[in-house]
Amino acid sequence: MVFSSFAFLLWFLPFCLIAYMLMQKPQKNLVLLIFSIVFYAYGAVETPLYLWLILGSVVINWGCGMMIGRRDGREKLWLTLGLIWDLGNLFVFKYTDFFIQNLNAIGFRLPLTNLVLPLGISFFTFQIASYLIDVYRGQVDVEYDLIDLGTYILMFPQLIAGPIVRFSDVQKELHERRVRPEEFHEGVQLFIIGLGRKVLLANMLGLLWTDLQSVGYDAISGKAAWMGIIAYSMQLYFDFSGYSQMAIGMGLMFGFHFPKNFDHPYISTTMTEFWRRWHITLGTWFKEYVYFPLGGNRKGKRRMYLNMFIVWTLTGFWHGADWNFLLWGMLLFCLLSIEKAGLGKALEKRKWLGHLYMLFWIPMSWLLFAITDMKQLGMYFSKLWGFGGPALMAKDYVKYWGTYGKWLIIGLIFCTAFPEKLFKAMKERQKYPASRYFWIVETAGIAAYVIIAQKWWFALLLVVPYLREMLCRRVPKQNIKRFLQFFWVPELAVVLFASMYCIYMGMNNPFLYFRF
Amino acid sequence: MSEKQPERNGRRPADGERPQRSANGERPRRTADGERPRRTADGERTRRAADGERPRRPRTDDAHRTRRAAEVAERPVRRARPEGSRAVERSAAQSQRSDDAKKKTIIRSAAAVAVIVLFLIVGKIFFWNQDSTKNTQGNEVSVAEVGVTTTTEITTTTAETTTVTTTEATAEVHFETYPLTAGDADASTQTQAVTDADAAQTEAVTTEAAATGFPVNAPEGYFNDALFIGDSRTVGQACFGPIEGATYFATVGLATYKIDEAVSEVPGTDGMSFADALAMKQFTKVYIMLGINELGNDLNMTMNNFKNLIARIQQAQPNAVIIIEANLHVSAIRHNSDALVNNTVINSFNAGLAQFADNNKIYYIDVNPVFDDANGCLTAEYTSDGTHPYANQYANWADFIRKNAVVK
Repeated sequence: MVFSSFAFLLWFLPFCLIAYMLMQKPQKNLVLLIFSIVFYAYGAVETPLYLWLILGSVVINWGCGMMIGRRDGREKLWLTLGLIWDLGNLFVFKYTDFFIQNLNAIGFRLPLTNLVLPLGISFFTFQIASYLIDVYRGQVDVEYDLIDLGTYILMFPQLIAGPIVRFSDVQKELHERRVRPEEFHEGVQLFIIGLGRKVLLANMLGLLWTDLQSVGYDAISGKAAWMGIIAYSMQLYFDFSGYSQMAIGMGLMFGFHFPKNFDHPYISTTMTEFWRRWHITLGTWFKEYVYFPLGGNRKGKRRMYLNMFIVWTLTGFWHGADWNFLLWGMLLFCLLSIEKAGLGKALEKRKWLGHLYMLFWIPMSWLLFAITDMKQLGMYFSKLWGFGGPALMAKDYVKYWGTYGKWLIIGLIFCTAFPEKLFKAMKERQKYPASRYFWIVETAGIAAYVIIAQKWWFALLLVVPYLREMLCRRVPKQNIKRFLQFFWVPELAVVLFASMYCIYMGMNNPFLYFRF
Repeated sequence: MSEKQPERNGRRPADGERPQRSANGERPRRTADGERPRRTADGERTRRAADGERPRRPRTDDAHRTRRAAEVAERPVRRARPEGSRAVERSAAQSQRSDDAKKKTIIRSAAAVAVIVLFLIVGKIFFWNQDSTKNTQGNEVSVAEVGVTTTTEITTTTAETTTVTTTEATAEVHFETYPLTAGDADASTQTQAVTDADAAQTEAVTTEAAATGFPVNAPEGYFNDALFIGDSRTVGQACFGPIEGATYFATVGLATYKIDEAVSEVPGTDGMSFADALAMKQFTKVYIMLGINELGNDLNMTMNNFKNLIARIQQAQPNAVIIIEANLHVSAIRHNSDALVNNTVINSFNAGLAQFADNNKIYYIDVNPVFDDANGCLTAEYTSDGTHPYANQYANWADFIRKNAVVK
C-alpha cells in the first residue's frame, strides 16, 4: 500500500489510529502488529506466499536471537544461521536473475527464475540482520517477546521504504512509550509535509522525466536532457525524503522516535557530506555492519580504500541488481576516495567551489542510477554534452519549460533549508519578531497566484493569513505556545487537500524506491 | 514466628516473576503492568518511578551489561502482558484500580477489537479488490486470435486502370455485446487486406502520377487544409513527426466527452479550443483519433459521442472528408497486465469505429500494422511506457498517413 493513496489515507490510517488509541497499553504493540500484517498482505495480494515469508523470517530471527542470548558458546553458529537465512533470502529473490543473466551471456543456458521481488525485502532484511548482529555484540537485549519483535520489524511506517531503524533506537519505546499531544501534533504536521513533498513536488517533477522517457532519449535536445536529469534528481529526493518524513511522522503519532533519514543533502559541498545527509540510516548501517567489521580506517591506508570500495560497491548493488548500480557504487567510491585524499578539505574551504562541484556530480551520479540500459545511458550522456545529435522537435525545451518550469523552480527552493527555517521561525514568533509581518508576504503570494493563474476561487485563501495574524495578537501570552501548535493548520490543510486532489486525479507515480 | 508469608497484603507474585524480598523482608512496590522489572546488581528491586517522573536509566557499565546479559539469558521467557484474569485478581486485591476503571479497560479493549473488525470489513468491501488491475485472463493471449476485423471495400480508380480490391467481409459488430467474443473472423485477413491494398495501390501509383481514390498517396499540398484531432499520440505526432502544412488540435487525455473544454497543447495552436479549430478555415480532410482515454465508459455512449462529433464536424466543414484513425495498440506487457486498456478492448472499440465508415464521406484507416509485432501488440522496442511510441516512430506514422490519403 502506498502512503499516498486513498486506501491508506482514508481507510488504513484512521482505523489504525483509532484502534491504537482505544487499546490499552500492553496490547498496543499487538494492534500495530495486526495492522502491519494487514498492510503487508495488502501490498502482497498477488503473492500471498511472501507474507508467510516475512512472518517466517521474524519467527526464525526471534529464535536465533534467543539462542544467541543463551551465550552457551554457540552464538556464532546461530548468528551465521540467521544471517544465512536473511541475506540468503535477499540474494535469492533479488540477485539470482542478475547472475543468471550474466552467466547466460557467457555461454551457460540457465532458465530465468523471474521471481517477483518481495515488497521491502531490502529494507527489512537489513533491519532484521542489524537486530541479530546487535544481539550478538551484546549491544541490545534479546527480545523474548515475539509480538514486540514482530512490531519492531513489521511496523508499517518503516517496513517498506522507511528509515532502517536499528533495534537500539526503539528498544525502550517498544516497551514503554507515551504519546504527548505536542509530539502527536508534530507527527501529523510532518506526515502532511511529507505527503505534500511526495504528491505535489515529486510526482510533478517525475512527469517531466517520464515524458522524456516516452519520447525517447534520442529525440530530445541537450537543454531538455539537462532539465530532465535535474527533474529526476529532485523527484528522487522529494519522493524518498517525503516518504521518510511520512514514516517518521507516523512513528511520532504512535510514540516512536525514528532516526532522521535526510538532512538537506542537496546543499552539500562534497560527496562525503552528501552521503552523510542522504539516506542516513543506510549509510549508518553499512558503516556499522560492514565498514567497521572490515577494519574501517584502522588497518592502514590501503586497507581503508579497499574497505571503502567494498562498502560502496555493495551500497550500489543494494539499490538494484544491475550493472549500472554497480558502476554507480564504484563511481561514488572514486569520488569519495579522491575527496578523502585531499579534495574534500579543499572544497569545504571554498564553499562556492563545492556547490559547483556537487551541481555537476549530483545529476551525473543520478544519471548512472536512473538508466539501466547501457546504450540508453550512453545516448543520454551524449545528449547532455552536446554530441548526441539534434532534437526531433526544435526548441522542445521551451515546451518543457512552459509545463514544468515552475515546478523546477519550486523544487529548487525546497531543496534548500529555507522553507523549513521559515516554518520554524513562524512557529517561534517570540524569537523572531520579523515573522509578525510574514502574513503580508503570504497575502501577496496568494494574490499573485490568483491573478497569474486566474484561479479566482483561491482568493478565498486570502482570509487565512490575516485572520491568523489577528488571532495570534489577541491570544494571551501564556496560551500562545499551545495556540501555535495549530498555527499551521490552514496551510497544512491546503497541502493535504491539494495532495488528495492530485491522488484523486490519478497523478500518482509509483514510489521510485519500490523496486527495493 | 515471623514466617515470611508470601501472601501478605493478599498479593501473589505473578507467574515467572521472581519472589521479591529485600533484606529486611519488606515488600517493595510492584512495577506496573508491562513495565520491565528493574534489578540492580545485588538483586534488589529499585523503586518504581512515580507518575510523570522520568524512568531511571539502568547502569551501562560493561560489568553490569554482561551480568544483565547473563541474567536475561537465565530468565525464562518474560511475558510482558499478564493474563487477563490474573490482572483482574491482582487489581481487585491491590485495590489500585476501582471496578469502574476495570470496566473502562474492558470496554476500551472491546471497542478496539470492534474497530479492527470494522476496519477489515470496510477494507474488504471498498479497498481490497481494487488494487489489482490484473487482466482477468490469466494467460498471455495472442491478440491476433481474438478480435474482429473490418469490412473495407477499396476501390482504386485511376485514369487508365480500374482495380477493385474487396477484402473479406467480417462479422457484424453489435454495440450491445461488449467485449466481443473470439472466433469471429480472423484478424489475419485484415492485415492481408491492408497489404493487398498497399500492393494494389503501389501498382496503381507506378502507372499514374496523380491517382484518386482511397487509399492513395497524398499529392503535393494535400495536407495544407487537413485538420488532425486527437489525444496524446496526436500531440506526439504534431511535435515529432508533423506532416507539412497540417493543422493539429490535440491535447493529452482528450476524449469525446470533454472535447469542448479541451485546449490544444500543440505548439502552434496553443490554447485553441475545439470550436476555434473548426472555425479556423475550411478543411477538406479531418482526421480523428480518439478513444483510448474513454475505454472505461459505456461503449454505446461513446459511439454516440462519436456520431455527434462527426455530425458537428460535417456541419462546420461541409466539404471535408472525415478519416477516422484506429486507436493504437498497447504493448504486450500492458496488454497482459491491464484489465481495461488492452488490445482486446481496443480492437473491439476500433471495430465499432470502423462501422462509421461509408467510404464516401467517412473513411477508416488503421496504422497498427506499421507498429504491431507478431501478436498484434505494439512492438516493445518502439515504446517505453507501452502506450506511446517513441518520438522517432512518428515519422513512420506520418508516412503511413501520406500513403493512405483520400483523393477525390
